[in-house]
Amino acid sequence: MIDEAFISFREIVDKLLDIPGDFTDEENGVHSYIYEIEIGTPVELDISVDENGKVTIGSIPPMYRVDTSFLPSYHSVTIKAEKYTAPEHGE
Amino acid sequence: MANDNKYWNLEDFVDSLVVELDKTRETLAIKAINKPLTYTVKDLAIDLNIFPTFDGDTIRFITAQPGQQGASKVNIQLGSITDQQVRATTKISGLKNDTKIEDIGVDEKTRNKLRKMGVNSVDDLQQVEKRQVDIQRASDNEIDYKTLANQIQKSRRNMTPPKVNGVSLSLDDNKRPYLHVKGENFTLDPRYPPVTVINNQLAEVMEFNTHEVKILLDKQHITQHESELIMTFDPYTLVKMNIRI
Repeated sequence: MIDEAFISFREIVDKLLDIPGDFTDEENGVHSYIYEIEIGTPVELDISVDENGKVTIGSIPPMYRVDTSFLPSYHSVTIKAEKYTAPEHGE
Repeated sequence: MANDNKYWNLEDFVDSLVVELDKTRETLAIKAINKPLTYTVKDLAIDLNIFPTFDGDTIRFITAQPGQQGASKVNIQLGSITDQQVRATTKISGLKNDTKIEDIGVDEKTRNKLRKMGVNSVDDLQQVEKRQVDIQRASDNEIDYKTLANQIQKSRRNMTPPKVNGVSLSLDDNKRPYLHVKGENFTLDPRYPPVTVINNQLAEVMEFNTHEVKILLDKQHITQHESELIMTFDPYTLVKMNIRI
């Protein structure tokens, strides 16, 4: 069970990669798009283990931007992503 | 951070990470229908602040809590691989005839020792044997190979137990009486011919194969009372039945 402040690792990845990668300059007739991107971010992790040893990873980017006496332990995630091309039929 | 911070195995952590990434990929194809420009994870690196612990057998980890100093850094990098590459570089597990080491009833110490040597199935063990590796010596005599080999044979025999379908009384060409036992999976290993005992007396086996055994009878075997027939087909198989001859 993940702490309610955290979301699944899959959601973090989905949200980080949900970017508008298209840049269109209609006036000059130029169309660009991002074909590869690398994103690095500190994250807090909540790693829970059930009775069978199954690990569930909960994560969240830093929530507060204030200095506190006890700072959260920030781990780091770097994702390199590329433009998704749907596989050809039958692959 | 949740309060129930627990120790975890690196293998389970990476498994979970991979499952999460797989789920991301699964939804990607659907997402791409309405959103032509979508992105797929090519590589992922994760730096963890953790404290390791060693219990004498396995190393486990716990994530650093807020304010905790002196944590170790572990950097995990996951690359992507195509299914064709997976097929080319990975041994297929769970083959129909392959038996996992944990299924043959070996003790935990032996199982762990074998796992550390990369032996997870009987097939793995046979591959090691083919290369003339002395498992007992390689494990500093911690694995008793003779016992292990016996357990494997026993486990295999359990998967194909003998089955008696019928017993009948017949006469051979010399008019000698014999018991004709029919069934399945009688003698599977040619090194071990069957041994039969009737009422605590050894009885001669005339013929045998996987489907039948012919047992020569003496006069003393033929009584009006119930007789006990015991047949062994190898060191792991014993069939006992009561018959009236």
